[in-house]
Amino acid sequence: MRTARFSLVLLVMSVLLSVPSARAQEQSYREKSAYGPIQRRLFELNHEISIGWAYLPLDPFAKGYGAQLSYTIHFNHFIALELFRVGWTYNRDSKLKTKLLDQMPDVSPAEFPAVVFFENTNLIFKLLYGKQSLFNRTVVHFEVYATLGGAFLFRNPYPIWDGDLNNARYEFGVNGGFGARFWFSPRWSFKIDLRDTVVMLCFNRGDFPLENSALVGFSFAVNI
Amino acid sequence: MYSVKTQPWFLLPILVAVLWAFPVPAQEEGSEAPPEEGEVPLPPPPPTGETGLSDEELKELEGMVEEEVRVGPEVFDEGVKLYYEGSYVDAARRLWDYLAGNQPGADQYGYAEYFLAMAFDKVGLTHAAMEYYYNVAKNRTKPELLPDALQAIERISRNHPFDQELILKDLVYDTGFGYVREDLRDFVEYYQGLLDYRNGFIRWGLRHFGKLREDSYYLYKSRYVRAVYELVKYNLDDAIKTFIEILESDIELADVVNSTRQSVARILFEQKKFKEAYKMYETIDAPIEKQASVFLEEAWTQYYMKDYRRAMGLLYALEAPAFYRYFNPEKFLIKALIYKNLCHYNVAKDAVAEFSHYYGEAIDAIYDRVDLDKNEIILDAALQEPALVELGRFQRLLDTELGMLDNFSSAWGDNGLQDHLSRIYDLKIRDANRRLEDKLDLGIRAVAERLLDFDEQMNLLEYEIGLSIYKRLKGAPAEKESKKDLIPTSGPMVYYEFDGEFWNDELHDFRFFIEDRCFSEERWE
Repeated sequence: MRTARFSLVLLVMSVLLSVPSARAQEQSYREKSAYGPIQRRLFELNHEISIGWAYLPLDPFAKGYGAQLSYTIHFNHFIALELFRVGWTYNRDSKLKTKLLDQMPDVSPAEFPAVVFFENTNLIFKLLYGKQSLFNRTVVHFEVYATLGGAFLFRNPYPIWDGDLNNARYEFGVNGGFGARFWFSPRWSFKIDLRDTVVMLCFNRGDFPLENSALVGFSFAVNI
Repeated sequence: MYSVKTQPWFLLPILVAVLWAFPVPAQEEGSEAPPEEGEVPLPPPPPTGETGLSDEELKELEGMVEEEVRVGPEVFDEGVKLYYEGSYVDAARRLWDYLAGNQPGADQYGYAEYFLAMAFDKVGLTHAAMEYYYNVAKNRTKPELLPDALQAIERISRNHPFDQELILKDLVYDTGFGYVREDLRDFVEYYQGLLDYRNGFIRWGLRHFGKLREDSYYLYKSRYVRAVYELVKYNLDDAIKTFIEILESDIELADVVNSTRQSVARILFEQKKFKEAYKMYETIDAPIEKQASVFLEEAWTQYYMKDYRRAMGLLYALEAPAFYRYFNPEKFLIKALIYKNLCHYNVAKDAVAEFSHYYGEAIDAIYDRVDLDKNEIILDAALQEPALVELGRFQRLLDTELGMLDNFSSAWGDNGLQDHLSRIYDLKIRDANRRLEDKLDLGIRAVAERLLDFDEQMNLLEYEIGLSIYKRLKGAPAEKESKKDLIPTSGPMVYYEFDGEFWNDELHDFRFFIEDRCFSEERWE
């Protein structure tokens, strides 16, 4: 069986026939690779649809529980466009609001508009991609991303089925946040989002409220 | 010393030849002699204009008049001004106007060539730049430009594929440059020495290498060449001594260092110092796509160290996309050997079958004596031969740059520069193809021989596997009680199951979990 495998002749030929590769820069010790850290990513995304829950905790007078749906186009490993992310929330009055209304009957419920519908359009910057070993048994792939874009909010003090839109507010704001995705398979993944919208302008009232509306989202995503 | 006396009868054919070749002076118009009696009259001359010249003669004359037109130095000045303003495309246009309108003896001709080369260099036409730097350095009509031209040539030669015939053989090797700056002298002396080594003029090569400055880039490259030459003579100890000198010199030149490390590791392997060889392989930090041979050699080293899990892991690393072109029949041989040594006979046979699946068609083609360059596997493998790789890279560069010329058509299309460059690139591509074809034959032959060699070894191995199966069937127990390795849920080692995603930092750490199914029979033969 063959044992002497390294042919010295080959080695010599490789040096004397081809000029020893003089590609390196004298200034840099390491040569650059044409590849990044990963040669083949299993978890590539193209067109993604996600559906999930939303929780809006920041309003002191109402806590929103809702659902959201989004569609995202992934351009490459780094950048994606969340074309839309729409959601509806059911708002439950907080104790503070109930107390206020009980103790100060002069205060109108119309003073407390809460988010009922929202729409976000964001650029997504995928900052981290990695994998972790779970109990040395399985490997979990994840990514962490940042988002930045705009948001449209519809805020109303009453649920939508009450039909009372007299105090409704149609608003625009700047939206930003972070999120993490964990893959179950190259097709399916689970996402956690933390978003905040700073409301800049109310269209129908013409005021600039500068209020925050934060959202915590949990959704399942499928790559189509 | 000899002398030759010419016999008078030799003179006759020479005289006839000279007379035959000598142009007969044209007779003046109207002075032609009347045809002699019995002679056929000559056909009438082609139609003439007022000048009395034929259309063809007029066209020729026009061409000559155009050639004679001199373009003044103001065009050169304009080109240089545009160059310094950063308008390299326009600068090239005006400099070409100057060159096309003047003879090589013109006052600013050498400077115009130099600035044109720099303009090409700036717009990314490295081969065109090299051609003009070559003119400046070779003709030396302006000797003061020689250092700058050489410096540019040296820089491009480090960072891009280039025409080695033109630059190394025609320019560097065949030219006496006289006094040149120290750093450039290193470049010249190194390549002159290297070519001397290649041609077998070792003493001359040594003389050139002896002139290199201490601690210069080319000094270490020359040491590498010298060490390899020691390998040729099979002076392994001297070779390794020189290689170690390079490694201990604390230089920061990745290509020299990594080549040296691999060479040292190969020698250590040859000396059966597998542990040291593997340690040396692990120090190589070349880009991952250049490490295919390192992985394979490491796998062999691990095989001889009997760490089959590591060896198999390294073989799996070779499945990474970066290595998809790597001609690697050995992989199947090592796999089959490992499986056989661990008594996994069925998969060992599968590895042999896998080899046939990959290379069977190519091997059949060799046996059938058909045109081997028509076989994709053999052709691709031959193109990976070192001599062809460089030439292939150069050819791709020429193709790319020829394609780039279209980007400049608006600026260079009407003054002939684009046509001129297209011609240069076309010719060079044809030349590169011819050289590739010449070398390809040798490469194909080498690949065919290697394939046949591996085919023979795989056949032998298959036979040995069959024998082992037969022995096993002859009364050995059917199953072995073995302790299975369990992966701990925690501890200092973290385990990542391989899922087909190739992270470059992990490729060296793959382990392939495989049980040893042998009993006591010749396990480590």
